Amino acid sequence: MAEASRGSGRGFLVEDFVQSITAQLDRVQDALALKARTGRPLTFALKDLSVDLKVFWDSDGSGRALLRHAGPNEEGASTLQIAFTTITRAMVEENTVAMAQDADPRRLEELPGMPSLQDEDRQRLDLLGIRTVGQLKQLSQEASPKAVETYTGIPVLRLQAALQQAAQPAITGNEVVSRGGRPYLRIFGVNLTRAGKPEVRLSGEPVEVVDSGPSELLVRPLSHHREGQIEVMAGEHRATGFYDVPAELVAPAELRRPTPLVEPLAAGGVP
Amino acid sequence: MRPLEDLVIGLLGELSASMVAGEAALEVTALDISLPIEARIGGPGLWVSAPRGVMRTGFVMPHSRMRLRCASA
Repeated sequence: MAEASRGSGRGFLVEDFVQSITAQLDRVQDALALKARTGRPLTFALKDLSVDLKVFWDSDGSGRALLRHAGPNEEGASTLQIAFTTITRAMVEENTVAMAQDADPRRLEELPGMPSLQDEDRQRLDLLGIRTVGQLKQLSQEASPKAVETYTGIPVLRLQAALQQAAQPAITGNEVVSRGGRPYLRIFGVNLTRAGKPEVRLSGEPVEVVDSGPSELLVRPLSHHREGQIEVMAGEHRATGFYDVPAELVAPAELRRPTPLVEPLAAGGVP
Repeated sequence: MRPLEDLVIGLLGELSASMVAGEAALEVTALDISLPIEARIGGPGLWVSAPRGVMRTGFVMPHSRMRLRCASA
């Protein structure tokens, strides 16, 4: 749990504190469920828990709220009433952002090129719950840059520059997959098909693009490709990354078979 | 002080054991507990204990309060 020294005590970030106490209550439920499974005649499940804590509030340099418990003989503390209740998985999913549906899950500070958004811009967006490039794009689709400027205080020009950066193709990862006994390279990224099916080069050589989508490409490396640079040419834009094909995936099956250290016993057993 | 989960699990464990010690004529279906605690926000989470009273030094921790609502499982 992140803590910040301030004054005579240590303050803890509110969001970290809530997450920590939630994890503690999860452990309570796990332990009680375990007891119930061991056949005890009577046990209880925790439905609600609430605590009234004597705390002092503070804030750090970024304006984030910090929480510190009142010490001995300290007067004037606030009473924080915090209540937890049990909810189902369906309720959790209904009330949280669908991370798997985020078209561009990169963090805002991962935008390539010169940083168009300054630290305070990102903090303002963070307070609005906008933490990924995909969420920023969605916001720009639902409101004009001028409207966003009015609500967030981020200048239109900086916002437009960030959105231009966000629209460029980028490679975020890759993995080697085996199909029919030969290796293929799956390339993960964003905006990979913004100009149609892209051209892909491995170590400077064009390779076949077997399957393509905005966030995923499947290419067939040549037999001598082991490691090197990935280049994805999406129209006039180029995204780069690095690939590494493990030797065991490129070697023929005959070479992968381990050589026995001792000769197998002949039929008939030990003489 | 000990982690919050240890206090809750210990409390419910002892209550469950005491309620089935004899021949139970009534069934307990719900349990509400409200008790004063000493609490400390620390890493990671909340550390609590039963109130320990005024220590010899005269320094007393402000008491917090914890409420639990439980149902039989």
